[in-house]
Amino acid sequence: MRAYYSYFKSELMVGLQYRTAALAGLSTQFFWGIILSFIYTAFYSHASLANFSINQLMCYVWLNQAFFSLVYPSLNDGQIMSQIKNGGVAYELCRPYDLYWWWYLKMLSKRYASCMLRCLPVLIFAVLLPVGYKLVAPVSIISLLLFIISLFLGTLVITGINMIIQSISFFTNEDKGIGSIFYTFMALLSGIAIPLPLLPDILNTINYLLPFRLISDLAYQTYSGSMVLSNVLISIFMQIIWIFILILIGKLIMKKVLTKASIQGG
Amino acid sequence: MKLIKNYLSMHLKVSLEYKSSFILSCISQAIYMLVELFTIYALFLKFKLLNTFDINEMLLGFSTIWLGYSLAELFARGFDHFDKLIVRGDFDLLLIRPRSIFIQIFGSDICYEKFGRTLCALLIYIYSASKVITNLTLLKISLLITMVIGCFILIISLFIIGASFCFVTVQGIEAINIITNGTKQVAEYPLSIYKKPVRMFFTFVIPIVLINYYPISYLTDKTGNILYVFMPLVTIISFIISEYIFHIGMKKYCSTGS
Repeated sequence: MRAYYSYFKSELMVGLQYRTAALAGLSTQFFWGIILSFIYTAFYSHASLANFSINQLMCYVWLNQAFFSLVYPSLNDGQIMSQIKNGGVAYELCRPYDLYWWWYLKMLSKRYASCMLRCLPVLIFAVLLPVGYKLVAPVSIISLLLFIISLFLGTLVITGINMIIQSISFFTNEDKGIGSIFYTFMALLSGIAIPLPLLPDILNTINYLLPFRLISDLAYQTYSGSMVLSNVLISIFMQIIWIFILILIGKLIMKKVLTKASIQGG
Repeated sequence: MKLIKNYLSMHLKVSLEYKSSFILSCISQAIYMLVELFTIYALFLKFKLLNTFDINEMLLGFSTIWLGYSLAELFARGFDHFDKLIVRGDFDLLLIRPRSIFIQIFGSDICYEKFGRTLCALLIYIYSASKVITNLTLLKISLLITMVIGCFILIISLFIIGASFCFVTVQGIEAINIITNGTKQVAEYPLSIYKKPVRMFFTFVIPIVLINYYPISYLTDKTGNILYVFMPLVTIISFIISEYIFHIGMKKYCSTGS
């Protein structure tokens, strides 16, 4: 257990080294947030929605920008894939640790590290914006607390999904095709592409039972109070169940893959 | 001309080396575009604006942008990823060859994976144009063609301006990338939903409105103003400006190679 902990810590430290890269990424978050708020306010000037006000929408947009690196669907990390491609994974397999958890922690630490570098400037920027565009305070202390909890659980959900895709690409030896198609749909269903309350109701009903909305949409809606408290508590319960299911599936696939996969390179 | 043909066939051969991967990424690129289209449709559905906007007109505006954009991505990726050329020091190689620098940069990378997206956008474009236009005239056909070419030129100009900054900064600036992407994102929606300042910006600073919003109103016979037909040609000016900026940048260039 201690080995896993110190591995996580060291990977986190490695991630925190890339400060200039994070700074470059920051401008993306600022601009993108501004562009999206322009587009959505254009819609709100024509009509407004009963259960999703413009303030709640802006919270959604800016939180999404601030915590983007924590919850974005695809894994922008070529490291594990290049390990698979050049055979470096053989060394990983020699270690007396479970490869599943090893990679899981690696992915998780990468997300936390880049979020720690980015989220604060975006949040401060968003708070300082004029009324109608700014990030407003959470509805209550409880909702802030639940926001933090559900965002943390959301990172476990997304990493579980990433691990499944990663294990499959370990087997097929490519990461661009099927994985990226899957991630595109995931961006739609998890609220990264568009806030989920703006999607058609039928789609949201189906989406309710799937794990994707639990990644970040739940946390943002908890913050802005566009989801009822009882519903939030049920959803957090669902998150915990999904985390276990995803880890179970991921471990099963990994086990299967490891018996069949061949090591590349030499 | 022969050089261009060689470049095109060379890159095609490279992409086709990995056939299944190539086809899959073609499909995934197209799906990405369709998902974007779906989110726009969903927004209009949610805000119940579908009766105030014609869905085919929306499709036409959307596909113009995407067609021009994916064509630019297909052929001008060398400019889009220009920082790679500079960082690796490969740009020096291009400079010593006795050929036009622009053609060489175009030839440095051609991304055939964007073909899936281009084809998909083209189909939507033709479909929506056939629905929107009631009486087809020769002028309208030529406008349909110049709209796409205008968009193509405009996006390339943005790529080139972004590339020019790489001479000074070496690493690509992500903010420039955002301008290209953001312009595309804004222009995907029918521009009449925006307030005046936003529209003004996209008329005079980045003239994307001139290749999508105004020409479409001519196509749908909302206006008979013949001036609208020539609007996409304005993008040639932006191309000339970007070329000028690029040459200024090139004068400042000192090699990064070792």
